Amino acid sequence: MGKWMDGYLKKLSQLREENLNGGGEDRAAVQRRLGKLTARERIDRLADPGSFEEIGSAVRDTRPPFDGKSRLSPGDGIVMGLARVDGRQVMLYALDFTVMSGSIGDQAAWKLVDLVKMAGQLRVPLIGIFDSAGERLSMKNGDVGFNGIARLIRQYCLHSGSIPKISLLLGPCTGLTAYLQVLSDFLIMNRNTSFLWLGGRAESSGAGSAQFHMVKSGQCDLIADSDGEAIEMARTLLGYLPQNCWEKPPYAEAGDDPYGREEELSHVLPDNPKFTYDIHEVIEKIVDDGVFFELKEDYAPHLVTGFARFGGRVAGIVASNPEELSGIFEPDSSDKYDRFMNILDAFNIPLVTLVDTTAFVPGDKWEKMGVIRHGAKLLHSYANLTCPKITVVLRRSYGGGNIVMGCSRMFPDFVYGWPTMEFAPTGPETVVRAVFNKELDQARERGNYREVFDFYLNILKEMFSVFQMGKHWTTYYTVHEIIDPGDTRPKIVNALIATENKHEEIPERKRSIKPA
Amino acid sequence: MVGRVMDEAIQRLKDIRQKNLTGGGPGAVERQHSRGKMTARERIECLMDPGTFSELGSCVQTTGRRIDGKKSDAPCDGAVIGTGKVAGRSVAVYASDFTVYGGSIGTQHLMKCARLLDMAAGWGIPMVWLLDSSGGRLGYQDVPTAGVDWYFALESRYSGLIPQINVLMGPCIAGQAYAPTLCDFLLMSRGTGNLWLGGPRMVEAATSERIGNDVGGADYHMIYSGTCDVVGDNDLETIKSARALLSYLPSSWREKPPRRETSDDPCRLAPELADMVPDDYNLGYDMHGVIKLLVDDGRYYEIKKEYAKNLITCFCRFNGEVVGLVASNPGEPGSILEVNSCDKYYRFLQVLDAYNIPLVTLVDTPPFVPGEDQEALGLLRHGGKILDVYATATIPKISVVIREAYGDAGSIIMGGVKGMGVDLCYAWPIARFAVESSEADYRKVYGKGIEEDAYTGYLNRARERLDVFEVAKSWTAQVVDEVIEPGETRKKIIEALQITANKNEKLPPRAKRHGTSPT
Repeated sequence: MGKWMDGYLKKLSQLREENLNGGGEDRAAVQRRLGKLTARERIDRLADPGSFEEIGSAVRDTRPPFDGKSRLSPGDGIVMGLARVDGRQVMLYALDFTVMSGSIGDQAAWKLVDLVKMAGQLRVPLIGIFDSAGERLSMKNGDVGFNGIARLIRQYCLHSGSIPKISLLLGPCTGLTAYLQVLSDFLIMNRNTSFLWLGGRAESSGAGSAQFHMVKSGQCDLIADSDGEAIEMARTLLGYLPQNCWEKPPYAEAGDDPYGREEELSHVLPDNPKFTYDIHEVIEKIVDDGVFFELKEDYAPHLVTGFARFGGRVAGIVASNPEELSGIFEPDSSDKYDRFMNILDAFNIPLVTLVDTTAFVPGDKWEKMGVIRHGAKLLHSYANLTCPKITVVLRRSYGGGNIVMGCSRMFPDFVYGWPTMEFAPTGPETVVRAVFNKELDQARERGNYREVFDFYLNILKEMFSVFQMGKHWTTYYTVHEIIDPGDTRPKIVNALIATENKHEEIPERKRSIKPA
Repeated sequence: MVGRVMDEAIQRLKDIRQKNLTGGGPGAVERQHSRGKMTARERIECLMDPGTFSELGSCVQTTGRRIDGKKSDAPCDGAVIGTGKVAGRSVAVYASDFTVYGGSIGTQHLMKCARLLDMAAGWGIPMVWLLDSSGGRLGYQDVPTAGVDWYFALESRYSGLIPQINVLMGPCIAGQAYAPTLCDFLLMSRGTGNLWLGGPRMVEAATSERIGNDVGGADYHMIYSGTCDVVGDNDLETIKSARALLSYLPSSWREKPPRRETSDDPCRLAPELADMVPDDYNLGYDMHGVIKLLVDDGRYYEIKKEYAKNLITCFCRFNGEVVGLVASNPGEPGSILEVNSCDKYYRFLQVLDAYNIPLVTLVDTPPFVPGEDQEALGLLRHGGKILDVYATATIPKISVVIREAYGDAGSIIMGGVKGMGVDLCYAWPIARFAVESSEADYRKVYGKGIEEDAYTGYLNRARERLDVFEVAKSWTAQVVDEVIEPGETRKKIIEALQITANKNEKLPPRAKRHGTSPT
């Protein structure tokens, strides 16, 4: 090798070294003191060893220093490139908090635009790791930053539903960059260090934290106690997702017998139908190895969402949870369900619903929040899903709750019901009072109210039982088959096998108009 | 020669039709009128061009049996359906007949409505519901088991295929309440329309709550829940409003909305505009005034007028072509970027893209980003919904920056930067810009490790206010295509609409017809 080349190689290795140092040792020390990993450490943890191929490492903030004080800007604060995670190709990037507090600069924004575009064209998942105090974007004197972030946001939208996008927020993230968190399909936040905020005034102490966005805003899917845990979660999550919308999620052999009967399922439901139980008990008994990967666990907990496998095949589970608010539906749980089912459909992941709900709540408070349009949103989305849809009704399936969870006329593939199942527009007692009020008034005068009430109630209860409803194949209040609770898992496994090559066309149009 | 059998059969048909005219009988019709309501057939007459209604299923009767065995009689099973013309264009109509068992839904009733929707979608003509129904016909053997094609699924699958308009002029409770909400537009009659998930009796039975009289009314759903699009004072006015709305919509997604000739000069200048908008940025003004001066004949059709009033959504025409106009309203307090205004914008924008209606945005976002209350409601995901639709909408998108455009306060969803996909962005000479309007110093709430001089140093770049000439100076900024005089705004919008009329944009492919947008 000649001297001429040596000189250049030296230059290159200096560049590399500069890159590895990020914003300098002081800043890295700050990062460690905060309990955070650096951008490169995060990537190293996530990517398979030696698989990360960086692009854009020579990039720097090319603008003259704003205040005359020049600062280190390796990569313009972005480390990005190609990598493999558990052997699968992905595109990933990390904002480097040691470089000007991880703020997004003009070059950084444009680097990311192209990375997202590449991920979309190469049809591989996109993983972003955020840790950024804001933006240093401009549109002055030829600066291209504002248009860059707009293009970045647009690229995220253009590739919505074609490649999975996962966001890890392991520090602050504010302003326009914050939108990338919600435009990603999944958001993982660090319990101690995350802060997500558009830009207005924050008043309470926990505002913007992982807990805030998990419990209140419903924008956080998973909370990790450390950066390491967050990265593990991302890896696990990726295991449930395909590379893109034309593929299926990866198969993984079950550690237990997917065709085994589970006798204990017959004992989960309390003898008194007015009592509650925790739906997790059911879920754990029907999924492979009892492993359920729950999302948005503390947001609208009366509706449980998450991933699991049945006989090795990935499915998304949506289950009403009678233990929380009797498993009702309201606007928050609607939003939770809506996003999840659209993600499932986009990535060919079957939807398994477990139903035991008294449906949507009426009343002034909920009406003001638009409970009806939120219910309609679910009807709209569910009716437009073409992924495999399997419904299992455990007990109560009332009103709109029945319909949005996949009743027979909403095009589910299979509707199974436990023998304890009851279909009704609303609780039978309410129906008697609402419909036969004249008869009941007369009876009250005659003094045989109880007798008349029970007469109608018994007729209705009999009518609403699955054994009666099951006689009508054509109704939306029915099942395809009544099953023994112990057989639930094998039934679902077989349904997933049967629907593996499902193909359904829905009417052609430009876009549907979803209720807000 | 007509024989006796034919004679009798024809007479039988005539008898049925005659009986149908009074629905549930003269007494019921009188009660309907005394409530200030029109009958189903009167409403249809009011909607359609005179003499164009052609009924289907007029011989349908109830097939239901009461659970106590009593016999029932329900002409048309309480649903009058058919086709007719509105301003010369074919439309399918369903009207519930409240005089027949309170317009309740029996099996045949349900099937009439569902099948009509099916047919309308097949024919590519709009479907109008004239709804006045007490809901499922409970207490019958067959009703809980009714319906081969439950219409929620159909409404959802045909959403965006043909316009679906719902005019609610009576009660609408429980499961039935979803039907109007799944339509593209819900018009409610102030005097008579009521929409509840549970009516007063049911709410009390289920939760012991006694709800007020206003709950569920037209104004309630207009002001609070954001479910209602247009309110009319009475049945007549509301139905006439539905006719007007149809004039802005195509018959199906394959068409463009109908053009209407106008005498309003496309080159008309409006120098008054410069006086209407204060050049003191702290002063508000009513954007409606600006809109009136811009559109053909000063006429526009506002959607969700009383909901999230800081954002105006309306249909109008420019040189005869239909346009959906979205404008921030500095006459109202607050930023446009709030959860409710996002929901309002989101619905409207989907309609525009679905039915090939160009979008014109008038941008004047105050330098203000909502705080914790809104963040707690998921402001980001609500804004994210619009980002998603705006970015993927392939209709012509034209914007005019009137005064202020700040990214985080909402200009990003209003066509205030080219990168989001706006076709042409014009700006007035008083316009000013910044990436962020927020002055928040996150060291106070977050603190952890942000560099000391971040806010006085590099982060300020994004917060620097620039006037339009600084921005327009650099083409690489890709914000403003042309600075225009306020008076020529109408002319420039019409020009832009002509330029973009044949726009044909292809999006990157995906397997399903939807993405995974935030909710």
